[in-house]
Amino acid sequence: MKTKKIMIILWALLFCLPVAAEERAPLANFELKDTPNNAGEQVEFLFVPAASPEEVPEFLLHIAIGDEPVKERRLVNAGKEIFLPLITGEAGVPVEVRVEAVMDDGSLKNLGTSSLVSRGEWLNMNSMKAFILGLLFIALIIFYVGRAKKGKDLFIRKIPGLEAIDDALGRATEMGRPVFYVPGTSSMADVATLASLNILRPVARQVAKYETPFSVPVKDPIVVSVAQDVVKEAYMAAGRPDLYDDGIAYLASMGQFDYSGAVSGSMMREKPATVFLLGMFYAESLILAETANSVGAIQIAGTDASSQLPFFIAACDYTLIGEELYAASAYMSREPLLLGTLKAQDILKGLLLLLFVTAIIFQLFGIDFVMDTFLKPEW
Amino acid sequence: MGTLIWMTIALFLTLAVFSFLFRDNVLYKFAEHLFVGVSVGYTVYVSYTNLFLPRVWNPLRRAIGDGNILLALWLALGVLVGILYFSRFTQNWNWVSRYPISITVGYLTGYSIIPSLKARILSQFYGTVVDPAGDSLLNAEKIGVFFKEPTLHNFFFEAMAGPLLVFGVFVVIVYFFFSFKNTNPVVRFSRNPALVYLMVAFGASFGYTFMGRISLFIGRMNFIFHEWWPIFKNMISG
Amino acid sequence: MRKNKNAWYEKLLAIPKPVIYVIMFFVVALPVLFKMQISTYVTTEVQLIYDHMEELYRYNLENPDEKKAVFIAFDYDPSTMAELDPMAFATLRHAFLRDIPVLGWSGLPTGVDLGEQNMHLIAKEYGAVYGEDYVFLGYGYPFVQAIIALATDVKTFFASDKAGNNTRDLPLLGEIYNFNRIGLVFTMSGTSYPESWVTYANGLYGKKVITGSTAVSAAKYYPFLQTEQMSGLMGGLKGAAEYEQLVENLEKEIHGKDVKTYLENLYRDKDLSRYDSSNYKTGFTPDEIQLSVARRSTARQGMAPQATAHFYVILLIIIGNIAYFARMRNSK
Repeated sequence: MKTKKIMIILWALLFCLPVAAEERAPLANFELKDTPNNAGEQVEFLFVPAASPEEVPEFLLHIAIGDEPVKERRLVNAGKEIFLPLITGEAGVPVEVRVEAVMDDGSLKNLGTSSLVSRGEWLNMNSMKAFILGLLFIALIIFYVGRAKKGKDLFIRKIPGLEAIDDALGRATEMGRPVFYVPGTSSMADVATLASLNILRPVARQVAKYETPFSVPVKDPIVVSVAQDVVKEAYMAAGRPDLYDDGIAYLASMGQFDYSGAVSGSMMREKPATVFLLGMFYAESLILAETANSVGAIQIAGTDASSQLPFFIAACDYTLIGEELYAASAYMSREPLLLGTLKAQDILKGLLLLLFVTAIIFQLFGIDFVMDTFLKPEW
Repeated sequence: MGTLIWMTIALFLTLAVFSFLFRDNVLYKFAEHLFVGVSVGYTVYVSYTNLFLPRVWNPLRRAIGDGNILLALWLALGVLVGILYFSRFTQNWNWVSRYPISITVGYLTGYSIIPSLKARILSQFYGTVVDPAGDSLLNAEKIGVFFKEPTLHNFFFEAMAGPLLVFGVFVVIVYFFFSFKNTNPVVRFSRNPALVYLMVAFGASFGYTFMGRISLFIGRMNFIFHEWWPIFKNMISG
Repeated sequence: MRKNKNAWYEKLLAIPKPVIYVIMFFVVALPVLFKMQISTYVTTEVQLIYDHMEELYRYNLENPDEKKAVFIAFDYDPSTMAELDPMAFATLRHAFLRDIPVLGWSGLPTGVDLGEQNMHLIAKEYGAVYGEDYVFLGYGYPFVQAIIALATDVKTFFASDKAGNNTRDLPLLGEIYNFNRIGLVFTMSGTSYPESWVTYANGLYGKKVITGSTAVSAAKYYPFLQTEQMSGLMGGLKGAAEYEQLVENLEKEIHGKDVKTYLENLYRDKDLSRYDSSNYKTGFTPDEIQLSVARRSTARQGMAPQATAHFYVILLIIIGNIAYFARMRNSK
């Protein structure tokens, strides 16, 4: 008796199933979604075909965005889900997508519509990690600059290339030949230029003390006026304002290769004994270093332009690599702003390095948490 | 005929600059001064036709023509702030130029901090933990593959590339720590490997650069032999 | 330490520079003069560029109403023209061959005319119409603001294009005016601009950035390639030669092997009223055809002298080192 009942139920189910499936299972699933973390200029349409390509070879979309005329778009059913970004341009634009299935006999079957109004977000959470990192960095800088201003001693190790500066200046004095100082070929906006001008100050002071001829050819007009101020101040501090002349720091030329041409020309003529090439350099680096080498000058170079460092290392006597330039500038000037920034940078570098090492160790054990939470960039 | 004259001038100037390889001379100086003058003049011309006219003058005229006074005022305000730059040429008023400078510097710094941190720090660190396919750079499996099937490719390019990269990033960052004393053991240990990494990178860059410099020379040779010479030959043979 | 001036190694170490230069001149000039050719292979970073372009082409085929464009930043000037021009030519050719719309500007004042000329020059070889198939916007300055302008509407930033046309009158810019419809960003430069393109166009807007760089700066872009922040890289003349090769193969597939006949017949059946003669004159003179054919292999022509020059320098390095070590041994 029991088995009979079960059989009847089973039979009934068997008959019902296809009917139920036919009525309930849609030919495709689709949804309009607001794109997160944008200003509402785009929404997303996610389309997942459920019917086989033989049954429904194509789908027809009627896309209405705001007041624009309705656009039709055919999607070939390849059995794969399709992600379609729709451009609204701004927030508050109503979007409606009506989907029709094109059946294998050519007839159309309405599958319904999906609609929404594009929405903009106040915050782009994708940039949050970078934002927090930025805030942390700024806070560290403010903290350490404050400490440096209060006169707290911030330790910075001595950069090996720095001892060479005094010897090089002394050599120029003994030989009675001039000292050239090229503060890079970039504008004031470049931090390397600022760092270079900071090193210019103690160099100029020393030069004034030794009464050595001095020349600072510059490529940028704004840098010229700052360099003139720096040199003038340094000569005053050395007690030799009489030796100062506005022509010490001058605008050689504003173009890249005409500048290097002009400077190497004057190097050939004046034969300096010491040449400083500190700051930001581009393709002219080797021309300057090679010319200085050919007139027999001692060269002290430094830049954070990674593509120019090889030439300086090959052609110059001493090279400050990358950040060593900033460190040297902070070390020599003892300027609180630079010292504090350098210290803050060290802390940040340490934190990131720690994070990096932790992420790598966790990753080895198959745990992505640290890496995904702290380092993974998102769009 | 016109083309030939221009091309011959270009040829002459190319040779004049190359003459510097032997020694500094009048021809080189002439070419140098000509180049300085021409490039400054050209920059002024481009700034006028491609910046002032399309960004300031034309929009201003169009805005006034359309009766869009608000836009015109907005543009004029920008121009006025920009003109303050010129105060650098005066003795007593040059502090005024700090206003436009502070506006541009402030705007650019604010705008660039987040993208720079994202593109140059976070993305790069992430790329040092895993490769784009999502595999760890210290993947032990690849080293295992080498022991099963030891070839140079399996070892160096598949297994060792990742660990070498991770180690390199670590030692080079430590090299640029300035807060530790030179005698600190971590600094001392990482100094030499870091220098090796740096020098290898510089060497690669140097080698690439040689190619670049030769390319420039080849460009000039191409110009002389394949552009100037055929036209010159046609001219002579009528 | 006494120097033995007559020793062979001292002589080798003191070869006068002009001698080295003169030999270098011949080493480079002879292969150029005799048009020596060597075959080159394609590296993955260049193949990636080609694949991305082809992907864009297929996307455009599937979505003819919403075509995406390539954006080319001609961020170079005559000083790096020898390396970067061939890259720009190959990119433009690939885009015009595949009917991909092209927008462009130059980020350097001295590159503005160069970029515009290059666009017209290559457009002419494919019958592309200014304003419909390609647009040159002019001087993209200030650089960062110009990139940001591409995120909203570039027409507000460029009220007129380089030629002085109102940008609102150009049909192409009516449709394609921001990053939404730009599939690939190319930057050809010897400056640090590619890094800014990565920071802003890729970092903020997730655009695929492809860099054509001078060999000098190529090495520093590999970290970006490893993290896929750059989607492809052409480094120096070698990179240009590879891409040039790939594009030429494609062109032969589409237009047949005879470039001359193709160029001669290009404007025969076309409606010439669509072309504005201020951009370029339709039709080719025999001289122009010859130059155009030669231009298709500029970078590859350069590879033979590159190879000889490299051999020469390797030889010099070896000689220098032998002499240097000999001097060290003798001075002990």
